[in-house]
Formats: sequence, C-alpha cells, structure tokens
Amino acid sequence: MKTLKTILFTMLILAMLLAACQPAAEAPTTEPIEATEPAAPTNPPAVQPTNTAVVAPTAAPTTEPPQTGPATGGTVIVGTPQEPTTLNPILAASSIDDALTSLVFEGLVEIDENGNFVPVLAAALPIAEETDDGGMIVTYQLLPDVKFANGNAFTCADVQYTFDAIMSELSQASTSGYSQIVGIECPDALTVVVTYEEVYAPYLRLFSYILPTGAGDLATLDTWAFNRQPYGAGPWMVESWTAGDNIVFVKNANYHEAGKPYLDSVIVKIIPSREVGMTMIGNGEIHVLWDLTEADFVALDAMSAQGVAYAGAVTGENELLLLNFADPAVDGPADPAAAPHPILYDLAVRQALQMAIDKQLIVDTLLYGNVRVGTTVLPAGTFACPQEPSTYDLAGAIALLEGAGWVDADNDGIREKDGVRLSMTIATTSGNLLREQTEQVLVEMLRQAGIELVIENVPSDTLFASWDENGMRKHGDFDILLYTTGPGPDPDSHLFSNYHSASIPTADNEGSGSNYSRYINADVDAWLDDAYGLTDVDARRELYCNVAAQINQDLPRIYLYERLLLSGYRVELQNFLVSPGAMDFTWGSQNWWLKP
Amino acid sequence: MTQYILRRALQAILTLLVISVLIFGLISSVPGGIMSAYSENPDFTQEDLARLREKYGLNDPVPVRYAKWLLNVLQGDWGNSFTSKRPALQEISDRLPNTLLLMGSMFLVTLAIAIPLGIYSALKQYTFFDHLLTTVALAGQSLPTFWFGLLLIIIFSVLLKTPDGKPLLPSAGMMTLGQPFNLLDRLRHLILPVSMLAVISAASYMRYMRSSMLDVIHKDYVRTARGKGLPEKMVISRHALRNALIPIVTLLGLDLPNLFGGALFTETIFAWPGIGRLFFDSAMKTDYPVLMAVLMVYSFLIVASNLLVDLVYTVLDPRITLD
Amino acid sequence: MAETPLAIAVEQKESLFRRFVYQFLKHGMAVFWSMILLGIIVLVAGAPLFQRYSPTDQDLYNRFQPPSAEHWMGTDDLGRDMWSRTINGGRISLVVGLLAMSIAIGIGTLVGLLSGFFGGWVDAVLMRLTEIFQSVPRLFLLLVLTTFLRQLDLPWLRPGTFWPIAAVIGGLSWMGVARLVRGNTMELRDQEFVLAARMIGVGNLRILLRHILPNVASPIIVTATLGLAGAIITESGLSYLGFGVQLPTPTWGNMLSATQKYLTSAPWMAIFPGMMIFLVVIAINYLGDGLRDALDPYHVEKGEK
Repeated sequence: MKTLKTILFTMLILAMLLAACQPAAEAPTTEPIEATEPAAPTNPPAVQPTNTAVVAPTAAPTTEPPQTGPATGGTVIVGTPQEPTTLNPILAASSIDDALTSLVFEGLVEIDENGNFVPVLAAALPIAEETDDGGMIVTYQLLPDVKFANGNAFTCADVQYTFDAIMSELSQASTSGYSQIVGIECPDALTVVVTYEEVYAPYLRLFSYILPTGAGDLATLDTWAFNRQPYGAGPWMVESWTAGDNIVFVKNANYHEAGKPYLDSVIVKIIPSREVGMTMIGNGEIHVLWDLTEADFVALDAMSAQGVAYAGAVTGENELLLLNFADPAVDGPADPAAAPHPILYDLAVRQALQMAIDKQLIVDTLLYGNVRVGTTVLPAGTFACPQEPSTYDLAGAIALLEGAGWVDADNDGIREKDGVRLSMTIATTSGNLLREQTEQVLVEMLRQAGIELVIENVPSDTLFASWDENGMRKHGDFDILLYTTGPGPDPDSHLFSNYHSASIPTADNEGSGSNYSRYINADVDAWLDDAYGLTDVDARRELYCNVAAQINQDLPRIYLYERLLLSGYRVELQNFLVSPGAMDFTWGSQNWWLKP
Repeated sequence: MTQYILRRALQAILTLLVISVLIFGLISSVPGGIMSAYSENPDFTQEDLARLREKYGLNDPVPVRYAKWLLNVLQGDWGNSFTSKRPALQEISDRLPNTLLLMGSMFLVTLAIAIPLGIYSALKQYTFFDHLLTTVALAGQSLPTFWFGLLLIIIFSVLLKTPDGKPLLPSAGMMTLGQPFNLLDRLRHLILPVSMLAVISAASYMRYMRSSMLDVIHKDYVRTARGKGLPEKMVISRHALRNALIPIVTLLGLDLPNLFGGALFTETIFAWPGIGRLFFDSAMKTDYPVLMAVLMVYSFLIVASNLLVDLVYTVLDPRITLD
Repeated sequence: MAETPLAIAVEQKESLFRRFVYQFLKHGMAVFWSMILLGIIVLVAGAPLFQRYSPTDQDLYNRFQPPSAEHWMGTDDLGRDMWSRTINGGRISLVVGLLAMSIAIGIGTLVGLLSGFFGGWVDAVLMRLTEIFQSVPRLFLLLVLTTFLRQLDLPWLRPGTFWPIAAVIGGLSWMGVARLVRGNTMELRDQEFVLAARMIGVGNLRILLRHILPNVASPIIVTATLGLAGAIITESGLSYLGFGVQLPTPTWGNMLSATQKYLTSAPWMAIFPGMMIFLVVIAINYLGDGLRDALDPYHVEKGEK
C-alpha cells in the first residue's frame, strides 16, 4: 500500500515537472523561416553578400519614417555572456573588449555595417601615395571641432600618441602594419602624414581607435585607472564598473555629432548563460543580447511576438573542415609530399568528401535556412570573390572513391585500399552544440559513401594550443578539424598565414603560421607575394580571386557555411546595427533611441 | 589540546606547500593558456607574441616561475591578474561579499530545512511522508543543476507576473540596474538562486540526517533513556541528536570552503558575480595569479575546516579523543 | 557493500543468511525497486531487442518530434529516436555510474576506516592526503591528464572501454566518504562493544570488518545513492574534456547536457534520460535501505513500534 502511494507520488512529481514546461513549450518546426519570414527565400540567399539586418517582418517597422524624430533619453541594457577584461583598446584581448571599447573610442577609419571602410574621425578616406624608394605615404585630414569627453580638442598629436602607445613596451595590441611606420608628421593640427617603410596594402585597417593624449604614462600602461574608466572621442564614457556584474556608460556631452547620442546611458550586464539571456530579452529585462549563434534562430523567431528581432553581419568567415595533407604520425613536417597523409593526400578523396556532404541540408535544417552554404574563402566585403557552390553528388563521390582504388572488400560498410581503412577522426571544440550537431550529421553523410568519421572532440584550449604547448593543430596531429576562420575586411594577412607555404608551422619557424593543412601551391604563393606589394584594390582583388579559385581546386579546406555575427534586440530599440568589424553591435550606438 | 592544534598547524603549512606546488604545476601544464587568445590572430606578428610572452613572464621555466610566485606571496604580493591587470586579491575581494551573501543564505536555509525534515523523516520511517521526502530529495539530485535553475526562472519570472506585468521575481543579477542599493531589491534577487542551491543541498543533508538519526535511535543508550521513561522529545534532543549530528558536522566541514568558493552553476545561471565564476573565467584564460590566489585560499579553508570539524567532534561526543 | 552480508552469511550459520533474505524480502519498497532496477538492466542490456530504430539513425526533417506512437519518447535535435537512445545510453551510464561509485566508496571507506580507527600518524598521513585531493582542482587535473593520455595513445583508452572513465570519476570523488566514515569510526572505536571485542582478543582487522563497518554503513549507503547520479552526469563532463565517451554514442549524461537550449521547446529531450537516472538512483536508495534494515540486528522489533 505504501509502495503504491510512493509510486503514485513519484508520478505526480514527474507530471508536475512536465506540466510546468508545457505552457511555454512550443515544438520547433523544421522550417520556421518559411513560416515567419515568407519574404526570405533560401536560394538566392537570405543574407545579402555585404549587407546585414536580418529582421523578422513582424517586428521592427524599419520602413516607417519617424514622424517626430528620435526620442531622447532613456537607458539601454545590453546582455553579454562575458565580462570585458579592460576598456583600453591597447590592452584588449577578446571580442567583447573590442566591441565595448568602441563605445568609448572612435578611430580615423572604421568598418560599417556593410563591411566597408568609412571615415569616422577622418574627414574622408585617406589617400595613399607610393614613394620612389618603395615606401608609402598616407595622408589623413581630420574632422574639425572634435573634442574628447574631457573637453580637450582632438588633433594630430593624439594620433601620434596612439601610435606611440601601440608600439610601447607594455602594449598588447598587434603591431602588424604599425611596425612599418617610420614616422608620423603633423603639418597642422588637423593633418596627419604617415610614412611607411614599404607599401602596406591593408593600411585602412590601422588607427581604428584614437587614445587621447594624456591618458597616462606609457611606462605604467598596465595599471592606469584609465583602463577601467576610459574616455575618448566616442559617444559614451564609463561611469561605473561593478566587477563581474555590470558596466554603466553615460553619454559624452562633448560628442562631435550634434544632439547625439540620443540615449542617456547604456548599461552592459554580464549574463553568463545564453539561455537565461534569451529569457531576459523576451521578458523585456534587457534590450540587446550579444553573441548569439546560427543555432539560436529558431528561439529568436519564436520570440518575435514578444518583440525580439535580430541583426546580423556576414563576417567573411566560414565554418569549415580543415583537411590534413600530411601524415599525423609525423611531427610537423614542412612538406607533406615527404610524409603524405595516408588518406587525405589523395585529391580524389578530398573531392569525394566534398561531394558526399550535403551542405544545403545542413544549412536548411541545423541552421534553419538563414545562412548561405560555404563556397569560397572570400565570400564578402571589398575583396569578395564568389565561386560556384559545390554540388552534392553521392553517386559521384562513390565513383571517385572506387576510381581511386577505395573499395569495401570486407563488406563492413567502410572502404579500404592497400590495407588502409577509409576511417578518419574529426575534432572540434567540445561543448559547442552546433558544431557537435554538424559533426554527427557529417558522420552519417560520409557513412553513406563508405567513409568512417570518428568524433574526438577536445576543449578549445587543447585544439588551439601553441607549438610550444604541443598544440595538436600546430603539430599536425589530426585528420580533419572543424572550426571557423576567415579573412577580416582586408584578406591579406589571413590568406598569407593560412594558405602560403611559408606559413606551415614547423620546428624551424617555432610553429608560426596557420597553414595547418600543410598546403603547398607555387602559384598561390606567387599571387600572394605579388598582392602584398600593391595598393591598387582591383589588382589585388584579381590576385586574391586567383587564390580563392585555386584553393577550391586543391581543397585543403571544405567550406560548410558562412558565419554571421548575430545579436538579438528588442524592437523598441531603433537603429540597431551590427558591423562585421571589431566594433560589432556597438557600431552606430550614438544613433540608438528608444521608441516610447 | 593546544599541543594538538599546534601540531596540526604545522602539518597544515606543509600540506599547503605541497598543494601549491601541485596546483602551480597543473596550471602550468594545461594546454592553451593566456597566449592562445593572441596566437590565433594572424595580425599578431612573431615579435608581438614574443613581447607578450616576456610580459607575462612565460619565458622562465616553471620551477623558476613557481619560486618567484612563492617569494612574492610570502611578502604578501599575490600578483596582478593577467587579464584585468588588477591585483588578484582585489578581484577576489570585489566578489567576496556577493559570494558570502549567496552561500551564507544558502547554508542557513539548507540547515533550517534539512535538519528538522531529516529527523522527522527518520522518526516516521516508511510513512507516506517519509517516502514523499525521499522521492523529492532524490529527484532533485537526478536533474542537472542548470535544468532546475532554468525551470525556476521560467516559472517565477516568465509565467508568473506582478499585477503591473513585471516579472514576479527578477530572473538574474544582484540588483535592478540603474537603481541605488536597496535591501528589499537585493533580497528579491536572492530568492531564486538561494532556493535552487538550498533545495539541492538540503536534499542531501536531509538524507544524511535521516540515516544517521535512524542509526542512533536504535542504539543502546537511546533505548536506555527511553526505558527510563524520559519523554520522547527529550530522548531525541538530549541523547540521540548529539550523536546523530556527527555526519552532519563532517558534511558541513566539507562544504564550508564553498562559503568562499561559491557555486559555479548557480552563479552562471543567475548571473551572480561571485568567486565561482571568477575562478571559471580565470581558468578559461589560464590567468594564474588569480587562479592561484583563489585556489590557495580555498585550500586553506579546506585544511582549516577539517581541523575545526575534528574539534567539534570532541564537543559532540567527549569519548572521541584526538591524538 | 556486498561483502558485508556475504561475510556474515558464510561465517555464521545458514539460518542467519536465511533471516537476512527474509528480512530483505519483507521490505516491500526494497523488493519493488529491485524489480524496477532489474527491469531497467534488462532493457538496457538487451537494448537492440527493444528498439525500433537505431540510436544513431538521423532524420533531419523530423527533429524535435514530441512523444508519439511512432517515437515513444519523441525525437532529439537530429531526429533520432529518443527511446532507442535512452535504452542504449543506459549501458555506458549504468556501468560507469555503478563502477565509479563503487571505486569512490571503496577507497573512501578504506581510508576512512583506517584513519578513524588507528588515529595517530596513520590518521595524519591519510587525512593530509585527503586534503590534498580535496584541494587540487579537478578541471585542471583532468585537462592535464587528457593531454598526457592523448600523447601516450594507449589502446585501452579507445572508444568502447569505460573503466578508465569510471576510475577517474571514482578516483576523484572518494574524499567525502572518507571524511564521513572517519568521523563515525572515531565515535565508535572507544565504545563498549568494540572495547569488549578487543578485550577478548579479537584482532584489529576483524573488529574493523565485523564491528565497525556494519555500523558506518548508513552514511556509505547515502553517499552511494547521492553519488550515483553525480557520477552518471559527470561522465558527460569528461567527454567535454576529450576523455570520456564521444558522440554520437548516447549516454544519459551527454543526452542531458545537450538539452539546455531546448528546455522549453523540447522538454522530453531532458525528461526521459533524467527520469532514468532518477529511477536508478531511487532504486539503489531503497535497495540500500533494504540491505541495511536486513543487516540491522535491532530491526526485528521495529514493525511493532
């Protein structure tokens, strides 16, 4: 009798648990995009190559002109999963640091929501002139009447100071590009003449933030109070920072755009759990939720009735499979021809891999049709180079494998050749749900072609560890890796470090470079070397485009889908944009206003 | 007794030294680390990376780094965080009050629930009520923490609203942003995280209390007391409870360091800026000055609370001798 | 745990063993839950016989289907049959959970008994060791261990062998039991029945096993029930570090860990594996209660109270 009672109670408790979930439960449909966004066809892609703002039509009446102009005042609360470590751009180490420093600092040239370079504190994009001795001179005209938040005028001297700070001993900023600058002159307060030792093609990416002269003594950079209480020429300044909890930004009364920022303050609240962040934005407790992924589309769509929309930007990065050309058993070989991978060195196998993967199915299901399949290393921006998408052809893949001698002689479902089983490991950063789903789908797809993939995931620190730390990627100890990478607005450094033969990490170069496939192609090397010495954008684009096409022939990597920078926001927040540059969601924050 | 405590203190110093070597060695052997944030970025040149390695002192061999760290600590300098550049102790002290508030409330609520229910459950063994408590307690242990936490948020801040449409309880954080400190507001923010922690931890304290009580009430001296005709309440509180508390005291001793260490999952779900998350964030970035400081304080508390527990044993049961 | 009834039964007369079985069978809840546990073990061990779909077959166009006649427990985020994954997932979870728990209880009980009974330098050494184990952060230890083992590339660490996982979980979670057992042993060691046994010349080992161990069984049983759920969930944490069972092999732990995102939209993904863990834990709990009551010499009269 007692037993029965207990069983009944057990069931009651479970029923209560179930019931508690029911009201909010809503089974996700497999094609939610078609349900809520009929205007967005999946092919051609829903996201324009260089454009942003994927907005659910039920929300955000962006076309409606504001009758009375923007409302002023109010506070916007932004949720982020991570706390920034600093608000000094010289010390910034992570993407949240970069994004939040952009609330306080503006640069000479920045990247807008379309991925283009635009002048911000410069009056116009600077002009570069090559000099006779092979150097380069870049001249900026500065915007007049710009003041820092402390009231000091912004002049050429601040550009010099910023340069000194970047090059100083305690700086944690990348010096690439800056290290080629031999001098900065100030003919007058509003003219900056930067002299480079040699031609540096991606010069526009430099000076994306300007520190005010007098921020502090560069010898004690690490311990400045300024690092947590900074002021700059941007729309906001820091009022308070409660460690681990929130940072309050208040408007910079001296901001150079008249009447802006419209809001009184922006509060950044640290919310470590993304699920809780989603609940809070649906509940109206926060206005912006930073750093969502493509896997969140369905939850975001489900919240459109609660007034949640989202904005995204194509970053030019791809989620990709990185194929190892060299034998994983050999430690960091410089040339894979000397130690070829027993399976992947064969081009036919790589082609068969790509053909056996139904990228569109992954995009349509796991990603809810909201991104484009991966086709090229240069999908977006000024240097975009569109390529034909690969075709999914299982029969073709099988034919290729058979032709190359891979047959399933022992009928275990997996092919063999000369005693080698067509079985490889795939590794990615563990704990990433979307990547784990993608991997498992790939396992099934490749099994159809008689290829075995074994998942062996590791924490991101293990995967991305350096050469000295025995990083598996640096030393070539893998078959296939799954992760995201891609060029920034200027592809120069990415293409060189990922595809040039000089960038193969070996003991000799102390593991520098990111050519983890150990891909060697003399033409690619030559095109990249040539492009480095050019300032002409069209000529560079053509060379980079050759590289992109050649990569698709040789297949050191298989591009699965294009990544987005994605943030959710509440529809009462107007003018919310996402830039593919470092400023991310803070781009244009001076234009934010709250619809009453 | 004093001699015993002195001897234990001496042992503690040795133990802590061993622990510091172990922890330092482990942290230094973990792959990745502070440099991986930079080495992935193609815009960082080899020179940049070399400069940063030097700046973080990563070029020294591990034993040298340990020796430097130990010397500094002995002089009271725990070093600056690699990431925020602030003193490691300041990072801790900024979060300590939040952690103490959360964990302290949790302990109080836990004990207030668990001890009476555990005793009651034992006295009414195999009644309907006992089975119910057992079921609920074990259900709480079988569900992952995050699941329970999210469920609380959905019920109390999404489904249930105040008459003016605001969430009944705030889903996360320590305070309503943009408002000055307010005790009532802080308490409202405490309710969900404390309930979650307390329910889970009370479940386990209750199980121990129940089983320990069951053991004791069958013991000879309790039966004797009962035989003497003492009222049942007196038998329980005078004779049984004292001895039944021994496992509870042991458990409290095991949990005491968490008063400082915080609760990672709860802090994560409810966005509570405590030490648990400071530790986790620092671990993700291998920020070893902060990590070492957190872990060493934690280890000290483990060692100290074990000593404390042993002393309490002798109070609870004078037959227990320490030698 | 199993040694105690056995040891007594073998050493003493058969009637005692019979009484033990009789006592256990009289314990209704223990018998009922033993049956449930047995049922789960049969389901899990014979999973291929009871499944309609393979646990790894995907159907990407039928993701997140709620429970139905077709899919008794619904489908998961890749359209796989949850029923099949749940019964197949139990195999690793049960083996790892029970094994890990036994290891933790084994080490903990041994350390606790020795430490509490002998005191002095034995206690000092063992307890300082316990403190060191309590202090060393698991996360780093596991990370370093994983990296180290990766480089060794040992064959017994390949997928399909779970005892290293169980050994690691068990080897890192014995400290609580040790402290609990030690506390109770310290209380017992100077009590009359122990002194009496010692007086009539009973050896230390015999005193420990025959007189002390049965009396510290309660906290051990409670720790075992509470620790089992923990061990099953911890298994998925090890996979995160690259050490445990890798996808797509289902375990109750990894099935649960992926459900955070789908708490409201597909709650069945968490409820069914969670319920299985719960059923196993509560079964072990009542099993433990039954064992203890059957062993308790005073228990006979309890029914009369």
